[in-house]
Amino acid sequence: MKIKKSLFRLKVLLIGIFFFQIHTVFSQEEKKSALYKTIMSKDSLLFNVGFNTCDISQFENLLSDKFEFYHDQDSISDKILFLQNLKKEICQSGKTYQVRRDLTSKSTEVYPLTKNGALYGALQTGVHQFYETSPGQKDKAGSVAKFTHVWLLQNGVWKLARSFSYDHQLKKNNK
Amino acid sequence: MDTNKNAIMTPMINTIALFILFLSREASAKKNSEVQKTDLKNEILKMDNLLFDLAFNQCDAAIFKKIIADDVEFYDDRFGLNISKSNEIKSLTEKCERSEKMTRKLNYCNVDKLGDFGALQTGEHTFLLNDVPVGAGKFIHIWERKDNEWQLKRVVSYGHSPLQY
Repeated sequence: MKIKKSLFRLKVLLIGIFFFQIHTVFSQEEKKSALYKTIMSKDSLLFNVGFNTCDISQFENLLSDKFEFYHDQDSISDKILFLQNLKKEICQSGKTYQVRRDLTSKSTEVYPLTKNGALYGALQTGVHQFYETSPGQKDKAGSVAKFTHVWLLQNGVWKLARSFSYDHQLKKNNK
Repeated sequence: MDTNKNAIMTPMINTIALFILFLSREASAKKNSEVQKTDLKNEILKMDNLLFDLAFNQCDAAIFKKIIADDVEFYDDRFGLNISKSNEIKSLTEKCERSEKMTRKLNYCNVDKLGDFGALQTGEHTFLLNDVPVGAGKFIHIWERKDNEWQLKRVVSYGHSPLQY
């Protein structure tokens, strides 16, 4: 009888711990969820296509008209200034090297933003590493930084509204 | 033999001395940036304290009005986006009129600088109703320095989960 009672107590305790864990794990989207996949596909368009191959049209399409970019070593820029700087600095023609951004694997977290249960946006956090690449040479590691993106559903289309890029640090070992 | 030894030792000592000098300069540069980071974190913690311990927890609307930027944007994962400062003030007033006492406790936060114009604060907080924890969430605050005063410009409040004890 005594054993049964303590077993029951143990069960209650375990169930309690189980629920406590469920509830304290913040409602981050699972990596298999539709929202996670959607945001990751937009991230890929923006960086793997847009940034890494200097396809500026990806930025023109994906950035909201009221886009704001906050950089820890720069200042706040709007869409026009951001695109100008991108063309002038990263994607300047005649440059001997390219800049590549790699998303650090498993660093991305996606959280839904809802209003009364209806999805209106998503918050994406992650870490990315930049490299300078030149043909025939080893990739040179640039800075590694954290980023936070606020994506908004505007008329059913995902647009990047706010981008915070911070904690830029130089990585010592080259790839 | 001795002269030979000296010929080897002198450049060696020079190299070591240079190396030590280099290391100490590296260390002092690192220390400076760490000091700056701590100073910034303390400044932001002071603002966090004014915003939550005074304005939110103790319902000091005057401090709230002073801290919230005119062009504030508040992205909430349950209640949508609010871009009106007067709505924010209204929410605080309504919260303070309720008989239950809602308070917020900071669990932890990190502060990173954004150029010389601002700071980014990320962290996690718990909300309590009559001192009983009822939920927790994550937050991102973009603070802007204007004429040596900090103002809260952008807020993202996300990852909310009810806590069940």
